Amino acid sequence: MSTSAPASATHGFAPNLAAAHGAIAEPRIVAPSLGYITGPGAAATAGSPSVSDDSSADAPPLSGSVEFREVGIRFGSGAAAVQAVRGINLSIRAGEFVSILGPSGCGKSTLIGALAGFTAPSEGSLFVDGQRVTRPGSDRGVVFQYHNLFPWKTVAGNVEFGLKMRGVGRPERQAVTAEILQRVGLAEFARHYPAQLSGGMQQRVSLARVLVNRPRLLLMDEPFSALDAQCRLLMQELLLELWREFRTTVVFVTHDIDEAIFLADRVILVSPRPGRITGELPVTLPRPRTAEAVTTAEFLSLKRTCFGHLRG
Amino acid sequence: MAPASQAPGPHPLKSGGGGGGGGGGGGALARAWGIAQRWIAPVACTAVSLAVCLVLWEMLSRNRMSFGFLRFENVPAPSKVAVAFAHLAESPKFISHVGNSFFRIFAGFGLAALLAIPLGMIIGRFQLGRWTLLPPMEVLRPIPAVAWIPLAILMFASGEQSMIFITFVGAFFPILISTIHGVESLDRRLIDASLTLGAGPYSVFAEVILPGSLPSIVTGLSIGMGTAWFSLVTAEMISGQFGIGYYTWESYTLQNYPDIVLGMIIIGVLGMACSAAIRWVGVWAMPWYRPGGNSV
Repeated sequence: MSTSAPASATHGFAPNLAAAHGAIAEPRIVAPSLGYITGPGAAATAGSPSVSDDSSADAPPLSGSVEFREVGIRFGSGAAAVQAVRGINLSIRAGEFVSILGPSGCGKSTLIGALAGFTAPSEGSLFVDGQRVTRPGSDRGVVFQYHNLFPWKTVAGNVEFGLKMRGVGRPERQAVTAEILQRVGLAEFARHYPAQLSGGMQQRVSLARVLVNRPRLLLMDEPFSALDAQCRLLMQELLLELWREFRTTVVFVTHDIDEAIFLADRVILVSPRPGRITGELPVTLPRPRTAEAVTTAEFLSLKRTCFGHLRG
Repeated sequence: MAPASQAPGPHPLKSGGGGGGGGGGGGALARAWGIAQRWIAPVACTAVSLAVCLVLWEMLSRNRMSFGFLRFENVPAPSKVAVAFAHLAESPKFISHVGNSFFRIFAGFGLAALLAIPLGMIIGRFQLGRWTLLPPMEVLRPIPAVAWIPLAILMFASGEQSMIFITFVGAFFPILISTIHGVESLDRRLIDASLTLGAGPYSVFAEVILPGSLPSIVTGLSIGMGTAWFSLVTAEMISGQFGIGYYTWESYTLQNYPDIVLGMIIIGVLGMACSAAIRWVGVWAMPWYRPGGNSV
């Protein structure tokens, strides 16, 4: 936190994180002072229309709401066409943590692709904060099962990429990057290349690289599936902490029931071929959650309900 | 069983070495033996193998051996080549020949790289580029650089320019093809990642496509360097004044047979040096590209 004062005042990542650490009650300071909420087009200035001033310190985040309306997605055409998902209706509140749970090949990832802007819906429409999703943008960050870090960039180079794209100057980029790497526990690995890291570390870098952009939507497609059980648990806890600090909406796709429940405010159940929403389950476990939460009676009863849903 | 068989293990070495040194002598000897096996043995074998070849060559030439279709009577012996090298190294001609060849390689190969890399990236990235720019390349590609020599002499004002052109043609296509391949085989997810992180079209090119296809480009450059030398030497033999290919051919026409072999060796060494330079540039430009590098 030895960032120079003027830099912190304008794009202050450093004091934001500090504030988030110290007082969770002031999360509003985190998002608007960076002003990244309006996406890549808008400059990081206070003038962005959808960004409120710091006055509304206790208000929930204003952006990151998602609306699926009768969304269907088909791949291919003619006889070879595959209906990946059909008739998806789903609303996600700004700042909500939603898990999408379903077996492999049920079209969960397709939903992530549509939200990221890689795939356009064949039917229906999809909105983020009331705006139709048309193409990828830095306001929606994606973390995949297998990392897609740039192999030719160091850990720091990967993390600061989004800031560089936005035209943030080098000293400030370095300060922000150093801070977020510290936050995900990789400060000593800043100069390593992705290939030199373990799977868990690579996913931490992926998370940091996305979060540095202050996305209103964090899209995660089975991000921890390739990790060993212990590492996965640590990553889940880290993710919950970061979610609390960054006040972003999270859509988390997984086939792991425990993971879906442990993380989310709400679990959306999806059936395969074509993917349809078959039910949803509000998770009322108290937060902040730690790994012990999975041993509580409440958790087990939620898990039982989930099983019932998936079987029936 | 185990301790009994373990005990004599180090001892034979110790007594066999006969050093009679202190307690550490056995370990040091074993280590020395290990080093010998790892480093000295391969070097010694290489040296012996090369020496045998040289001696064989020397004998074949000295005795003017002839096997009917294959004759060694006009082949200069290595000892004569060594004498020729001593002469050439003293004369100013040496620097001039090598300098001329180097300049032509530098110009022809450099131009080829400057043109082929951007062109390959455009063709690899854009459908329209592929449709419009690739067809003429595909038509010209099967024509060997050497086949261009007569036309090149007609097209260019000076022999120098035509030789640079031939070098250019030799290097151009391997670099182009490797660049296209590099761009096409780039992991699509990396481009997607850059888009979700806010990269515009220019940044996608500069930050993702160029570094991502660099391994392929460097491969293309090192193949292109080989073909550039090949093309240059041929061009110099046919239409050159100065240059190491010219020197080799001139030696033949002047019947300085040892100089022919000397020219060949110099061509080999220069080609090797240039390939090494490319490899070094590759390592320097891609510190991240270490197949089987250390992992944490």
